[in-house]
Amino acid sequence: MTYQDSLVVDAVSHAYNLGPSNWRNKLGEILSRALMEQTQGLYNREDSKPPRERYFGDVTAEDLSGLYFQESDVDFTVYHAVGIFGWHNQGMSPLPKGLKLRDMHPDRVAVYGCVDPLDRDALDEMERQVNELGVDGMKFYPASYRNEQYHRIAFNDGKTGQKFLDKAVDLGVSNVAVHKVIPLVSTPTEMVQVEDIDEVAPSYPELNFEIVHAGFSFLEDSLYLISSHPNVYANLEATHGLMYSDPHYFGESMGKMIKWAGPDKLLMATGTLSHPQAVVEDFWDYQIPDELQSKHNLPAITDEMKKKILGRNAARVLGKDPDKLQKKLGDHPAPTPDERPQPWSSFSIKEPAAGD
Amino acid sequence: MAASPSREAVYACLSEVMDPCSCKTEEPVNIVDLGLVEDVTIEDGAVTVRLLLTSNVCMYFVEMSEEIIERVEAVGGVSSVDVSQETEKVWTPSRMADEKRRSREERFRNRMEREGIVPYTERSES
Repeated sequence: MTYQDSLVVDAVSHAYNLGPSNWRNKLGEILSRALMEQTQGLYNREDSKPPRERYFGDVTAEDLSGLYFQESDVDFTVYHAVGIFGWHNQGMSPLPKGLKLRDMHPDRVAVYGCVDPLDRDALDEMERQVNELGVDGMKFYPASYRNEQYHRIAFNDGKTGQKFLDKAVDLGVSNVAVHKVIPLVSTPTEMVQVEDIDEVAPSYPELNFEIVHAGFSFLEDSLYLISSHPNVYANLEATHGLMYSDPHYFGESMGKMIKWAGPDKLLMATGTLSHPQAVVEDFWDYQIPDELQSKHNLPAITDEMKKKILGRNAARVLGKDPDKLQKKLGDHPAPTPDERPQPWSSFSIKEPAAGD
Repeated sequence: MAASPSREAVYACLSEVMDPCSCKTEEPVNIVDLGLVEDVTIEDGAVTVRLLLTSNVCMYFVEMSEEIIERVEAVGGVSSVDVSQETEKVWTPSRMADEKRRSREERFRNRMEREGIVPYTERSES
């Protein structure tokens, strides 16, 4: 089932485990509770907020299967494992759940693995994830939190991140997604700056770099990157939420990214912080206000651009032909809008957290 | 009874509090110019400052709160200072002072011009 005859790819899905069993420390609790609150106002319209009792706990592969492929017109999704272990025991979005989702839907799910580059065996683990688990890309975070300190992971630094780019090339991995822009808890902002990607992108033409959260804030840095490097893309996870929290700034951000880099460089993604069907519908209906277009000389977002941003670009980044993928997935039976389950009803009820 | 502190005096103190994250960039910005001060209420000497941080899971809230309290408590007429955090909104650059925004935009334009990068919409092949 496609929406407006458009291939729809959610370029980031997560199976968060925000529940107390996964909190390693107070920061883990703070981050988990904050993300839960954000789903209630910042990332969803009123009628698509996830019920707390279904979201604030261990989200499963089965939950995601229902959300994406029964409740939504999403054709394909890219599961990003979250390899932050300083605050959560299993990381916030464990890799095994993504692998299970892919096993359930081998034609409709890609998985990005994740390692903490400061772990002693991180390179070996990356190799295992690629060679044994068949991950389709890698997701990195810009800092590691351990021993109550933040340690920067930079991709222009031979000691921390860059050797993982070399490893990706050696293993034949094409896609590297990097969380940038948004500091998590007290991660220093300098650690989410994007300058390291600017330096290394030309040296790795065989890699596609996704700047995750590009356009969310301090837009100019991301604009420069996606405009000047053919292999750098804006992954719009969290930025997508500006449609609800600040639609005016969303228009400015999207308009400037299209103006400077072109519509082929943007990948729509929800991070499963939003109901994907709502995002698809609302983005399709969204237009940059006329006064913004005039003020900043921005292009209107055409239907063709929307189709690219909603899925065709992500398919190409994954090395897939969008037309062939759409044709292939069009044969998948899916509920019609009238038959569709209620939003979030696919998520099972989770145990209440302490203090709720 | 001491006169109630003025909003101007309180905001002058808040303008001396630098955003910790921006201090690590080329252009440090105070919390007022960065748009982090959501509102200030003053009632019978009790001052409440509500902040909207660039990330609402930012732990620098604690550090900023302490500095805000220390500075604002020194204003004549202030009996107490409380700092809280807005959690139902998200900070965006549109909240920055116009001068700071213009400065960032100018640096961006200069950089693009220096690098010879033409907007996609102006390229002949687009």
